[in-house]
Amino acid sequence: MRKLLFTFLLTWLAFAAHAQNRVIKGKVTEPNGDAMPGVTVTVKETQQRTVTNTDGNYTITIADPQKHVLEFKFIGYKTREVDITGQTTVDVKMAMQSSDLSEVVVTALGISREKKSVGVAQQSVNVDEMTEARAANITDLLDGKVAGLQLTTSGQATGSTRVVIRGAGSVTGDNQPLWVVDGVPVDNSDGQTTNGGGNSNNLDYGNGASALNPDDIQSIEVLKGPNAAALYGSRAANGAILVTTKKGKKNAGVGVSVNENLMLGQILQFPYFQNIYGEGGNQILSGTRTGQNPVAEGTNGASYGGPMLGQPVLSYSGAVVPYSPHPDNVTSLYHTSYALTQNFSISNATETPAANGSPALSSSIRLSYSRTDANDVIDKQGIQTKNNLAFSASKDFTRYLRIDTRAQYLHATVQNRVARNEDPANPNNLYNNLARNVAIGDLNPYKDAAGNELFSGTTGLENPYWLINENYNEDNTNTIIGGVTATLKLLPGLQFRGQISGNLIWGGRQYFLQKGAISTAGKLGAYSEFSQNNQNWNSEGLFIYNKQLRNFSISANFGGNIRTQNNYNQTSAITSLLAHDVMNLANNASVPTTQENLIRSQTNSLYGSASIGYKGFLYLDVTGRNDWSSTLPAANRSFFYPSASTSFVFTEVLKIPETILSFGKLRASVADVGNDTSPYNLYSLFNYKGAFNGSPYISFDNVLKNSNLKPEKTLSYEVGLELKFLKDRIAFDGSLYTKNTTNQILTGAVTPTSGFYNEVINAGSVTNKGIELSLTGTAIRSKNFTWDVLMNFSANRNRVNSLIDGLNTFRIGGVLLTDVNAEVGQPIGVIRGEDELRDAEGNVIIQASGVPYSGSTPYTVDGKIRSVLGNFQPKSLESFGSTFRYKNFDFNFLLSGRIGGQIFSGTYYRADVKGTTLQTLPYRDQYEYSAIVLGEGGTITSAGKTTVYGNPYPDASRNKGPVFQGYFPLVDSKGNIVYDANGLPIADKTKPNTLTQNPNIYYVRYNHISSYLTFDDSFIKLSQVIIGYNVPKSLLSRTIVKSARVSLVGRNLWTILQNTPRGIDPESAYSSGNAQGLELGGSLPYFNYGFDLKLSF
Amino acid sequence: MNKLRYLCVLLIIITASSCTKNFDKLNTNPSQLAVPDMDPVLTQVFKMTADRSENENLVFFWEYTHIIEPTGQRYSAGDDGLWGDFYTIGIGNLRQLRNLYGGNPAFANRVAIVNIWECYLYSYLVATYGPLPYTQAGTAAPYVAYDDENTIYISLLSRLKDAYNAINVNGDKLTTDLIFGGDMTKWKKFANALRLRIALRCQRNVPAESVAAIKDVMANESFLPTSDADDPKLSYGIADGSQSPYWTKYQKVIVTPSTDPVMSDYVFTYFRSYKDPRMQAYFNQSLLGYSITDTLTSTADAFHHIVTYKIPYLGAPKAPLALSTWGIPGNTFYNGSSLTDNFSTLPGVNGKAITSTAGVNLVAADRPFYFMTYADVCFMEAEASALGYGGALTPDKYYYNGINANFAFWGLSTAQATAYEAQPGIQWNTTGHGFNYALGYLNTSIPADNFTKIWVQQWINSFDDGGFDAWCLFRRTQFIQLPVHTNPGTPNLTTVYGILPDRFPYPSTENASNPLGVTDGVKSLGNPDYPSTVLKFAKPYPATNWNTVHAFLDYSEFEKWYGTTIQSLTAAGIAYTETGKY
Repeated sequence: MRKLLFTFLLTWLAFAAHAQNRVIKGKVTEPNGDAMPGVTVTVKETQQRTVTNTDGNYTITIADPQKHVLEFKFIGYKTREVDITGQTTVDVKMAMQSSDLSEVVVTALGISREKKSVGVAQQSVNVDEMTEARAANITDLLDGKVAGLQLTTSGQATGSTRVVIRGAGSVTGDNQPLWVVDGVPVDNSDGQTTNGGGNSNNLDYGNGASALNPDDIQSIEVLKGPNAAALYGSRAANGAILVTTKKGKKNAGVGVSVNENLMLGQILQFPYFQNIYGEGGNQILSGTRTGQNPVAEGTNGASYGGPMLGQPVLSYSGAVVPYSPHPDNVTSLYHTSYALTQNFSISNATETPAANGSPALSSSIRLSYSRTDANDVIDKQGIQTKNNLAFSASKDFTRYLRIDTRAQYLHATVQNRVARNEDPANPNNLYNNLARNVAIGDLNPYKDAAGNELFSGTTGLENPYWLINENYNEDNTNTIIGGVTATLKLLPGLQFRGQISGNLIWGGRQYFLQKGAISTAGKLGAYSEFSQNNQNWNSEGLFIYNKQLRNFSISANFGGNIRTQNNYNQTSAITSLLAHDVMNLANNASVPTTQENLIRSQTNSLYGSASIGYKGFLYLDVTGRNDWSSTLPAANRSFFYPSASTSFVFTEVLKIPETILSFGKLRASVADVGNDTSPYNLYSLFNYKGAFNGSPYISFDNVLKNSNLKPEKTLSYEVGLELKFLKDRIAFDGSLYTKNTTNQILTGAVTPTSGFYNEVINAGSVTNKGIELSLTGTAIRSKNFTWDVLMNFSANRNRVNSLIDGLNTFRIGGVLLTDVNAEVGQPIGVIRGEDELRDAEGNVIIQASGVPYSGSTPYTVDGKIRSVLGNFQPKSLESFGSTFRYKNFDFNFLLSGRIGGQIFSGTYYRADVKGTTLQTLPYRDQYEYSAIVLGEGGTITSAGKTTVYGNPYPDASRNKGPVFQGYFPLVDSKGNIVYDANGLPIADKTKPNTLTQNPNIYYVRYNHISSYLTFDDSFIKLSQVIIGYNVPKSLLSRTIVKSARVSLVGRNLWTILQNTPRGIDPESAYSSGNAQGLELGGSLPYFNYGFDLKLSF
Repeated sequence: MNKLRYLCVLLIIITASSCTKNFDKLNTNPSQLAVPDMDPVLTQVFKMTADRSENENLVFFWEYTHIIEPTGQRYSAGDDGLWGDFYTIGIGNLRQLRNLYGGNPAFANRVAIVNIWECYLYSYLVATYGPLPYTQAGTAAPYVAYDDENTIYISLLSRLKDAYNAINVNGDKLTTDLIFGGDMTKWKKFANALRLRIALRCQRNVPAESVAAIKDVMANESFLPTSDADDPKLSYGIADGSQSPYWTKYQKVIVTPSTDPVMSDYVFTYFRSYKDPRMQAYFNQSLLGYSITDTLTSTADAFHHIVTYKIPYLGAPKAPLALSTWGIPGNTFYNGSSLTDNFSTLPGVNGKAITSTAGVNLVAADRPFYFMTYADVCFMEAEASALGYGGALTPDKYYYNGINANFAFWGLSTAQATAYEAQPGIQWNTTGHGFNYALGYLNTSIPADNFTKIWVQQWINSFDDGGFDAWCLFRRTQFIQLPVHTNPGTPNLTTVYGILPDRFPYPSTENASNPLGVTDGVKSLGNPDYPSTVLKFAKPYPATNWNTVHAFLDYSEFEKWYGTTIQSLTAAGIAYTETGKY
C-alpha cells in the first residue's frame, strides 16, 4: 500500500519537476503533535497536489511564484489554507473538524454553501458519535445536539420518536420537520396516527426516518424554520433535517472500515413498590374462589388487603403459599436486552489528473453493509433484525457530465413488538397491577391443558407469560431510498442538475392474538394481515448558476420538481379464531373483513433562488416557489411563497483583531411558506361498512370535507448572530424568531346535528416565538489535553391566537379523564382534568362522606368543563456536552434536559388504584391499627373525637388514617348548600374535614382527581457518554490497520432531575402525535450501555 | 448548448405547471362511492336504529320500564352515542339520500320511506332530549339553532301524513327492504301507526294537531297494522356482525352472573296480583328458587304450621336498601336474595336454559328487534277510541284485542287470555285489588278508570323491545307510581338517581360544539338542562318525599304461593321444612 502511495507521490513529483521554481517543505501534525500521514496538500490556484508521508512530511515544488496558497485536507479535520508567500518551510497543525465550525454547509435543495453566506438558522449535528452511542432509531440520536429541537420517544427501541423544532405550529396537522435525504424528502410518517391514541393494535411501527443507518451518514444539518427550508415548500414550515449520505472517499488505506457495536439495555427505574400490604380489600385479606379455601390470589384486583404476615393463601398455581411480599415479582419479568450492530464498508475514489486544459475528473464508490440484531427487555419481545445495504457511486464522465447514484436498502423484521398504552396485550401492564404477594413464578404454567389462559381471578389483567408466549406479531419492512443525479456543466458557471429519486416502502405485518385469553377482548382470539406498498417519487431539474463579478458573487438557481405519492395498503382481519395457534386467515370463526386503501397525491413545483454576495461579507438571498398540489381544490391549487434573507459578516469590515473576535455575522430573514393538506379532504362520500345478514351497508363520511380549502400559511421572521472568539476557539450562535401559522387546515368537532362529527376547515392562528442559543468552544487546549464544550439553549413561547369561529377550545386528545386542548390565548397543550371542587378562595370542598367533590362526583362546578391542570409546553430546553481528550483517550458526555411543562400520568393513576406503589402506603398502618386491630368503626375513627359514650376518649389525637384536607360547604337552615354569585359553594371554616378514609377509598378517590396526577415534566438526564481510545498510529504502522478506536458508550444512564414519580419517564408519551403531555401504560424508562470498535484499513 | 438549456427550462415549466389535469382524479378516493343505491344506505340506517335502540334498552330503558331489572344501573341518563348515531348515521345518511333522490318520481316511494324513518328518529330524539335542532339540522356551523318540542311534533305529524299519501302501493320499492321486505302497504300502515303513536304522545302540548291526527288515522283504520304480520321489525342474524346487541352483550362474551338482567319486583307484584301467565312467558324460573317462610294451615289438624319452602319466581328490587327513615330492620329486604340465582332471569341470558312458557330465547343472535307490535297498535286504538276520536270498534274491543295479541305473540293460549281478562281490574269497567309492593308504600290495585287499564297493559306489552315507548308512556300519563331507587337516597342536580329521569341532558359533545344552540334549547326547556326537567309532552307530577312514605315489609305477594295449606305444597310436589307450629 505504501508502495502504491509512494508511486503516486513520485508521479506527482515527476509531473511537477519540469518547472523549476520553489520547493516548499513542511510537516503536518495532529492537534496533539503526532505526525499526520496521508494529508492532501494542494496548491490552491493550480490544483497541483501531494500527500504527506508516514512521518507527516511533504515536499511540493511550485512552478509559479505568484501562486501562494497551500491547502491541507484530511477527512475529519478542518481544511486549512496557508499563505506561503516568502516561505519555504511550512509546518501545519491540523485541527479536528467539529462540524459546527465547518465552513461549508449543505443548505436547502442539497446545495453546499459557505456557511458565512447563509442568512438563516441551521445547525449541524455531530454524526460521529451516532455510530458509537447507538440508538435503534436515528431520531433519538438528535437528542440534545441541536438548540430548539424537542424529542419525544416512544420508550421502545422499535417505536417512533417525535421531533419538533421551534414549537408546534399546527393544532391538528403534522408538526414534525421534513426529513430530506440527499436532497429528496422521504416519508417519515409515524407508525402512529397523528393525534389519536396509538395506531392499529396499539403497536408502534416506528417513524420512517428510523430506516436511516447512521453508518452511512456523512452529515446532518438541521434547518430550523421555514426561513431555512422555504425552498422545500410544503411542510417546510416545521423545518427540515437534511441528511447527506457518505460518498466514496480517497483513503490513506484500502478504504475498508469495520464497526462492531454492542449495546445492552436495562430498565433504568422501576416504581418504588410497597411490600407491606398484599392483595385484598378494605385492609383485609379476603376473597375466596367458589368452594375453595383459603383466601385465593386473584379474587381481589388490588393490593389493599391486610399486612403480609405469611398467612396461608391459595396461589394462582393452586398451591397454598404464604401471604408474603415478593419485592421482585415485577422486576424479574425484565432482563437485559442487547443490540448488536456490525458495519462493513468499503470506499474509494480516484482522480484522473488534469491534463491538456481539461480539469481533473474524479470518480468514487462506496459500499456499506450493516446488520443489527436486537431484542427487548422482556423475553421474546421486540426481536429485531435489520439489514442495511448502501451503495453510492459518482463519476465525472466528461468535463461536462457527472453522474451520482445512491441507494440505501433496508430490510427490517421485528417480531413481537410490545403493545402500548394499556392494551390488554401489553405485558408491561403487570407493573402497576400485580398484587405484591404474588410470586411471578406462580403465574406459570400460564395455560391449561386445553390451551386456554390460566390466571384465575377477576383482576382484568392478562397473564404476562400468556402474552409473551402465545400472542405473536411480526412485521417486515423493505425501504429503498435512492436516486440518480446527473450534473451537466452547460457553460462556465452554469450547471443543470437533473435528479430522479424514490422512497419505496413495502412489506407486511401479521398480528395474532391467541384464542382463549382471560380478558373479554381476547377470549375469541384475533388475527390480521396487513400489506403495504408505498411509492414516493421525486423528479427534479435545477439550473445552478454561479458567477463572480468583481466584488460581487452571484449564484442563482431555478428549477422544477414533481413529487408523487402512491401509497397502497390492504388489511384483512378475523376477530374470532377456530383453533389455537394457527396464524392464518383460514383459522376463521367469524366473517373476515378486508379493506384496501390507495392514497395518492402529486405536487408540481417551480422554484428559484438568487443570492448576491458583496466582497464576501454581505449577502442577500431571495427565494420563491410555486406549488400545484393535487390535494387542494382547483381554485386554490396553485400557491406561491417567497423568502428573503441576508447575511452580514461584520468582522470583515470592522477589522477586529482575530485574537479577540475572529468572526462575526448578523443574519436576518423572512419567509412565507405554504402547506397543502392530505389527500381526499375535499369531498365527503359513502364508505363501505360491512355486510348485515348478507346485505352490504354503506354510510356517508362522518367528517364533513371541504371543497374550498386553502393552503396553510406560515409567516416567519428571524434574526441571528454568529460570533467566533479567540481565533475561532469559541463560537456562539443565537437566533430570535417568530412564526405565525394561519389558515390552518383543522379537522374540528362540529355539532353532530349537522350529520357529521368533524369538519375540515381553514381556521386558526398559532404563533411561536423563541430564542435559540448555542455555544461551542475549546475551553482548554494544550499539547496533550483539550476540553471542548457544547451548550444549547432554547425557549419557545407558543400561543393559540384563534381557532374555529365561535370555538375557544379544541380537544386534541385525551386519556382517562384528562384531555389536552388547544385554547385561544394559551399555548397549545392545555391539560384539563378533574380537580377538587374549590370555593372562590381556593378551599377544597368536602362531601358529607369526607371525600372532595370532583368532576365525577354527583356535583360538578359547571357540569362539563374540566379544570386546567397544566400545559405540556416546556419553558426551555437545554443541553450541555463536553469532550475531553488526553493523548489518545477521550471522554464525551452530553446532558440534556427541559424545564417546565406538565404531564398527566395515567400509569400512576392505575398503580394507585391497585395500591402497589409506595405512594399508597402512608396512613395504612394507622388505619389498620384503628379500624382492623381495634375495630374502631364509624365515627369513632374521625379525628377529633374526644368522647365515647360520654367518657373521655384517650386516643383522640392519634392518627387513624388518611383524611382529605378541606372544609364542608356552608349550608342554610334547611341543609342546602349555599352558593356564591358564581355558583360556587362556600367553605365553612368552622367545619374542617376530620373524617378518616379507608385507604382503599382514599387513594382511589384521590386519584380520580387528575390534578394529583399531573406532574412537572422538567428533567435533566445524562443522555450520552463515550469513553474512547484511539490506538496510536505508531502502534498500527506495521499492520494493515490504518486506524483503530475502541469506546465504551452509554445512553440515558442517569436521570439527574426528575419530578415525575419513579418509573414514569418524563419524556414518555401516549402517542407521537400532537396530544403530548399524557402518559398511560408507557414503557418503563430504560438505559443502554455498550462497547464500540471501529477499524479502518 | 443553448438549445439544450432552453429545452431543459421548457421541460421543467411544462411538467411542473401544466400537468395538473389529472389532479381531480388523483384526489378522488377510489375506495369511496359517490352515488350509491338507496338500499345499502337504508340498510345501514335501519341497522343503526335497531342496534342503538337495543343498546339504549340495555343501558337505560330496561331499567326505566320496571319490567326488567339490569343490576348495576341507577337511573342514569344521557348518552352521547344516541344523539351522535341518530343525527349522523341516521338523519345524516337519510339527508344524503334525499339530496340524491328527492324529487325523482322513480324514487317517490323510497323517498317516502326516507321521510318516515327520519320522523321515527326525530320522534325518539325529541321525546328523549326535548328541544332539538330540527329545521336547522344539517348545518355545519358553530351555532345551530334549536326548535322547541311543539314545532317538531307538529312537523312530524304533518310529514308522516305526507309520506303516507306519497306512497303508491304499486310503485317503486326497495330491493333489500329489511323492515317490510318491499311491501309498500306495510310501509303505509307503519306511517299511520307511527303518526298515531306520536299524536297520542303529544296530546298535552299540541292538542289541536294531535287530535286532528288521531282522528285522521282512526278514520282510515284499514291502513293501520291489523296483525303481527304488519310489525315493523329488523331481523338479526347469526353471522358475525349481524347478531343482535342483546346477544353481543350476554352471549358473545360470557360475563359474570351478577350482571344478569332479571325480572323487576314491581312488575312481579302486578303479575302476582292478576295471576298473569306472562310472568312465565317473559321470564325463566329462578335458578335456585327463593326460600320463604310462611304460615300455613292444614286440613289434617288445627295448627298453624310455620314452614320454609321455595317459590319459583321472584322479581328483584331496584336497590336492596331501605331508606333509614323507614325504620325497616336490618336495612335490607329480600334477605339473602342478592344472588341472581334467586331471581327470575331473562330467558337465554348467559346460556341459562329457556324454561319460560314462550320458549323464546330473548338473546338469541338472530332474534328480531320490534319497533312496534300489533298489540301496541290495538292499545293505541283503544285509547283513541276511548277518547272518542273514532274507530270502528268500541274501546274495550281494542283493549281485549291488544291483550289477546300480546298473549298470542308470546305463545300463550286464547284460554289463558280469556281467563286473565275475566279478572276484576283487567276486565273493562272493573276495579281490581292487587297486592302491596313488597315495601308497602305502593300497591297494584287497578282503578275503574279504563285509560289506566289500557296503559297498564300497554306497559306490560312493552317487554322487551319497547322500553323507550314505556318510558314515554310513564311520563305522558303518570298512570302508576314507580318505586324509588334507594341507593343513594338523595337526588342531586345533574344526575337523578332516586326517580325515573324525565329526559336526557344534552350530550357533552353538543355542549362543546354548539354551545349557543344548547342555550337555545335550555331556554326552550324552561328549566335547566337536567334529567329532572319535565318535557312539554309529559305530565307534571308532584314530588314525593320518599323519606316520609309509609314503608313496611309486606311479603303477601308471594306468601301462600301454592295455597293456604301444607297439603297444597305436597300436592304441588314442593319440599318444605317445618320449623314450628302453634
